[in-house]
Amino acid sequence: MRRILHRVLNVFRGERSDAEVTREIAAHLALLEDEYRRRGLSPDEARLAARRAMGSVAQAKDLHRDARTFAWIDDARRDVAHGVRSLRRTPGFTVVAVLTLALGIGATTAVFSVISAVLLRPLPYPNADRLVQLFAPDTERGLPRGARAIPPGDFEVLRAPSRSVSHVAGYIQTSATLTGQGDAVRLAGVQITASVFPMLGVAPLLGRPFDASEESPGADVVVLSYRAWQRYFNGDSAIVGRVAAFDGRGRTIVGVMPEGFAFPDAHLQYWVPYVRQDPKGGSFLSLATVARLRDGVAPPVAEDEINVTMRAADARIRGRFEAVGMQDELVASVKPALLILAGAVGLVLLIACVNVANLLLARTAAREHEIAVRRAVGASPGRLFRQLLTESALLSTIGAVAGTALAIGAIGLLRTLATSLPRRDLGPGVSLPRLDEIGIDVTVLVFTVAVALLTGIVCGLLPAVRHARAREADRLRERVASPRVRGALVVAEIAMAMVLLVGGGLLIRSFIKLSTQELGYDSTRVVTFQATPRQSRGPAARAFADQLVTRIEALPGVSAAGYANNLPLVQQSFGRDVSSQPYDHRPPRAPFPGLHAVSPRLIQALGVRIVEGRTFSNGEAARREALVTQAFARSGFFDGPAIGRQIYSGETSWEVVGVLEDIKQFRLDQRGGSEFYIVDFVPAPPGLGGTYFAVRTDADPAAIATSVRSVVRQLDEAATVDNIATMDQIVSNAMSRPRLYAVLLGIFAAVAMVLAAIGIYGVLSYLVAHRAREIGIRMALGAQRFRVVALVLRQTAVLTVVGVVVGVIGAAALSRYLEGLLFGLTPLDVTTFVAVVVMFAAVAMLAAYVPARRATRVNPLVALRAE
Amino acid sequence: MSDKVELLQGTLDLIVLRALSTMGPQHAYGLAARLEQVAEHPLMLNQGTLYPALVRLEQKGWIKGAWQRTESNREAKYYGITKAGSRALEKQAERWRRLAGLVDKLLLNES
Repeated sequence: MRRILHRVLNVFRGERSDAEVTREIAAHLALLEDEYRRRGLSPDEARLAARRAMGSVAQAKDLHRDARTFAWIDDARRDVAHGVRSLRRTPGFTVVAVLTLALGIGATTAVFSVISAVLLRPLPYPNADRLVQLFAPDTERGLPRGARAIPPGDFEVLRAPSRSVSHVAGYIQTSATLTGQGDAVRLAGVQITASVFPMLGVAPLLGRPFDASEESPGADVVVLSYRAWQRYFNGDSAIVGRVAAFDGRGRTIVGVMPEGFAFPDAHLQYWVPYVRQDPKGGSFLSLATVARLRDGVAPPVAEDEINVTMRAADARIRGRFEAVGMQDELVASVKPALLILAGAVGLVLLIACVNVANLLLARTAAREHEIAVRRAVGASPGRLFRQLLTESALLSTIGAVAGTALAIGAIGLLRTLATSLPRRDLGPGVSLPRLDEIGIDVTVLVFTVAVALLTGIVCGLLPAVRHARAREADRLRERVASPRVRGALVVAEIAMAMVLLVGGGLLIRSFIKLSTQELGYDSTRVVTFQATPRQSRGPAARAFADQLVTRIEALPGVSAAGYANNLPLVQQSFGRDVSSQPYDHRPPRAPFPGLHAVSPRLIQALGVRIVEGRTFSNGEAARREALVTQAFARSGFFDGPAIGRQIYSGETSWEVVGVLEDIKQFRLDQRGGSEFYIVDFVPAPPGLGGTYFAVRTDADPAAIATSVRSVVRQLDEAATVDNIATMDQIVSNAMSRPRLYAVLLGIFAAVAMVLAAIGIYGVLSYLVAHRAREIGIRMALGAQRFRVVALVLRQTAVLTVVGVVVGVIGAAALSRYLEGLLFGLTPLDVTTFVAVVVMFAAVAMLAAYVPARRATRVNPLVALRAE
Repeated sequence: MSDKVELLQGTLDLIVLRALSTMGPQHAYGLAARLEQVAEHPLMLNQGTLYPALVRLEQKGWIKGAWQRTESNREAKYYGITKAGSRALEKQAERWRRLAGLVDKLLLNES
């Protein structure tokens, strides 16, 4: 023990001990010399004899040092110092290698930080892995899970005590106008069952959670979000018990949730108790439902129990209720893409490694003489191996530091790219869930260190093994080249870069197709917003909307204004059971066409294109008219042309007067469906929704927003304006995910291509230098310049062709994983493949041209003399 | 140099301890001279080889080094055996004797 302690300490006392042993050996030699002189030798002879008797002083010191400390720690110190010196001698190499590694490690770190925050880190609740989201059966229409909330009757059955589930909680999105705290504001909130807070295991920061008895119409209580408390109540610490007006109704504030509490969404500002709905009532709102599993119960077991319970309660239930992990559900839409990005960034890192390995090989090739000399004077192969590996470890460490800095920047870029409009009503707009949680934390740093270590080993291993193993006799005699190994590395690099280029190319082309397709309306120069009057229901609300569009149309720069119950890419649908025959008693044909209740001028405001017929007429006549999309007109609903036909719904009917171009209503990557437009006003339902306004204007959107606010205020002092966005923003928002993927994979592909080009350049520069003599002879014998260039380019062509062929095969095999992310093209899109091959060939030739030019400048005399 | 005696691992430590215990504090050169004298062979070892053994023993706390002047007025590091060193010497010597006896017996029986 004591020895080990000594040795460890001695690693750090190295220099003092070295001086001590030098002194001791000097004294020893002096005594030996004295002795030999006494025996009658001359002083010089005595010194020589003393040295002989002593043996190698250096060896004695080494032995001393080996015994004194752990040799390898000390060696490592020396190796690092030596590595730093030798890297500083070749700044060009060092900069390129460090930058390459920084790019590889930085990109990997950035992508891992996303994966760590989004996929790996549990949700911020105690034992979050026990939380599952419950979904109603998919009855007939192929609805996505997100649209399958649980009807209130079923919910009441579900929440009864059960063996597999400890809590069941439901919620419904809502909104309300908060008045009396400065200007009236529209807040997004949520109705929750009292079980939500205990189920999540989160207590309020101030006050108390809801009580089960408060799930009744009479309980006027509210819990505020931290943000709402700070923003509208100035963080008043005595807030509990105060009364605030929500939609004109006084609610007692009973609690404030802690900062960062975001259930089910980050921008919700308040929670109110869920009010039990009468199951026999005509209209109802379904509840999004979350449950906490009891310990040891797996989701499938709970799912089975739920289905048994539900069947027992209602034999008519078809299909299965589903239980999906809450986090799985949250990230389900982005997980495949994130895994693809992880694979892509892994390739980038691998290319960076290969590139640095290649550079190290070239460098050690240039240092073969030095290495051979060191072997000849007694450095062991293991020792050389470690030293070469230390150099690459040093490179990857510096690369990791630079890469971490790069990753911080990259995460900033990523957040900017991934930011979407903070609204729940906009299609699948949120590009990345948990975006705020992405950052560099301890997990990410540990990962980066591990990647750096691994990178150092991978980069350094090949050069180190080659050079530590080769026989020194070969080296002293003649520099041995390793063009074949280096060629293989370049081929690997080209192949991997090709895979990334094809992937990036496919995503970019897909994004271009997505963003240039016909929307069915003119999204430019349209400002949209929502306005909610004090009286959000009844005839007063309709009068408010009508007056508002009339006043807005009178504003300078406005050419048209209108309102509707929904807008394209706003995630709300109002299906309506309609028929082409009066009093049709056949069962309705699902899916129903989408209903758009609009003001007549909305068609002009949105710039919806009319392909046949006309738009709504002016005045009361418009109320008997309908416009239909082409998809609806051709759906077979009308036997024959649609114009002039009637659409019936119960006692009401409308005459089709015009056919509209198809509109991307919900998603940009789906075909426009059956939609029809009638002149009507739908009051805001208690949840989301409300009326959307659209204004076509040449004026600055911000200026229009200001004018709109003042017009609204003139009409109704307590009305609110929110969700202001241009239609272009809404469209762009709907594309934020494909854009994010295309940009990221595009960046990776570009980096890969540059690295591959550097690899080609490096290996050819080396070849040219190596064959300078041959080239010199050829030129001395009268070879034309272009022949010399052709000679070098031929080398490139061979490497490139092999690399491209392997890469294309690899890309063809791998691109099918992109299928789910592609719009309008197949994973084997010929255009993309051809474009990538042509582009890559051009880049490769460009990278080869510089060394080729250099070859033609070889001076035959110098080249011949050089060897 | 086939007559050069290869020292068995561990024996050098024992020899050094023994020399210090009988002769009192010695410097490395003195020890080397003593070893040559005992071995009756000047080429038995490079004197530099002593150093690792001295370091080992010092780290174990069995000997202690101090700078002093020699009779010829040169400075040298004198090593002396410690109490722990004396105890270790006794134990090691006993072990060595037993081992040597065993090896002797085996070698005699085989020849």
